[in-house]
Amino acid sequence: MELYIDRLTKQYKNKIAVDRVSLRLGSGVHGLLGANGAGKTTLMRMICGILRPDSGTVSFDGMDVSQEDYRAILGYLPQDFGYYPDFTGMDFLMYMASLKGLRKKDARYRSRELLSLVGLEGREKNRIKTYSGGMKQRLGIAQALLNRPKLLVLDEPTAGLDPKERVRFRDLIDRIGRENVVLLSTHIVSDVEQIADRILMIRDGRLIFDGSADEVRGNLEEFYLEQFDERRDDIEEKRNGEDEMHHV
Amino acid sequence: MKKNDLHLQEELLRIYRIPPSREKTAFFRSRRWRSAYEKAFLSPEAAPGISFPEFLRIQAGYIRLRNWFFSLGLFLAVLLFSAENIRAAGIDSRQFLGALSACIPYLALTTIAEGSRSARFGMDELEMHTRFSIHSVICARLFLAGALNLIVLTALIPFLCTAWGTGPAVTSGILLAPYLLTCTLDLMILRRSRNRNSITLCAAAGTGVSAGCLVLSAAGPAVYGVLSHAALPAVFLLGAAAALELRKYLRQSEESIWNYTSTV
Repeated sequence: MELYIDRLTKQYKNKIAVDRVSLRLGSGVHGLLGANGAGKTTLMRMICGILRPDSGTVSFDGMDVSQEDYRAILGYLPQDFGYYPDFTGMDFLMYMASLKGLRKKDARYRSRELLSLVGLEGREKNRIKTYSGGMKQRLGIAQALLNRPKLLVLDEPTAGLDPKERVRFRDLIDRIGRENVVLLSTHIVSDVEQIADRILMIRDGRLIFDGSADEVRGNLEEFYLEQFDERRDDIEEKRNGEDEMHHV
Repeated sequence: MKKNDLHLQEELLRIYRIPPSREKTAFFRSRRWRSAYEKAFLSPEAAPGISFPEFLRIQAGYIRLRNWFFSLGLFLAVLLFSAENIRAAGIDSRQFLGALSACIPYLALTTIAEGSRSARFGMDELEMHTRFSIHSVICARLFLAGALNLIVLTALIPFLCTAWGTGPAVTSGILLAPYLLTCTLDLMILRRSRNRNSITLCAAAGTGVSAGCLVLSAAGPAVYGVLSHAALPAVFLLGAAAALELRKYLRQSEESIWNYTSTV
């Protein structure tokens, strides 16, 4: 089981959002860390076939991202999603299950199971517009799991979740990651530190770190800040410039 | 035979008392039951997933009832106003067909509104990653809502020709030209504006077409005569334009055109 990303690139007018990213992701939880605007969402959208890359390929066990088979094994939670105004929580899951090709009977069983898993049982008949942000997010997580995905892509999944829900979510992702490929993005270091087996850091569309939390001597937060500290970069650039001058 | 069976059943029910269930809840919570259920109903072999016709049937259930009612309501209204005593009351065929053609853009609007719900309510990103992707969803909705409209309009053409004595070419033009023109304009608007307010613009375009129909129907017989000759070519041209716009709209829906500033 492997997600293979080969030299994936996406450019918006004069800005390169994702710059030749290549990755091989096996089963486990992979955390994608990056500041706002680093290119996380663009990369995830390309992995899910929502955005067409300018160049490069994405495949899972030989299936290309454009194939129906690929979408059949994919679960995705976008950063922000809407819903039809008359939908209840159950309606939403049943609708998404139909798009994922689940039979009605299976869809109902799976929806109930997931509503219970994300702590929304008893609220399934309420309209989504009455849900809080955290409840809506949990419903989004539930829909991503409807088809028992082998590849689960979660964009900022912990946004809006309270600490208790975060713990529950972490346990859930940990279980799913044992047998499947999970890729989640966040800009909150503590989230990814506790959940992910492997950490991918992205800045200006480029992958700048790929390894485990242990590889950064246990202090991921400090390492992360070092990577994104613009002033430090400027100082280093100046130093490099001065060194070059001395050499000359 | 059936009577005997029924009698036997009643006798058995009287004699045999069903024992109260024991540990039923525990059984349904057990791992044994769960794994057996999953194997029987949820494993990939047991549940190969739904077919496209089944998907269409499910999608039909998500089309809002008011769309079906509007099409059928228009059909029934035409039947009612074509009754002999109402025609005898002095309604001119031109006035009647003008009023009817002014209603047609709203029929087109309901179909387009149904096809564009995903983008308007922000469900498009979710619908793009599923097995039946947004392309299938839009096609299914436009096909289902559009097919009903087509049936209604096709059924009305021969009926109006007989009841009001208008030629088939003029009747087809009066019914189909406003429908196709509204579809074309609405699809153009939706390609450029993907937010919730886009439907207001579509409604405005539909109202414009509707007003145009009323103005033309009120024009003198000479103008009406010229228009009646142009009806069929207009239908073909507008049909081609609508098909082109639909193709562009579907192609655009395959991939979201994201605003760089709001994403990355």
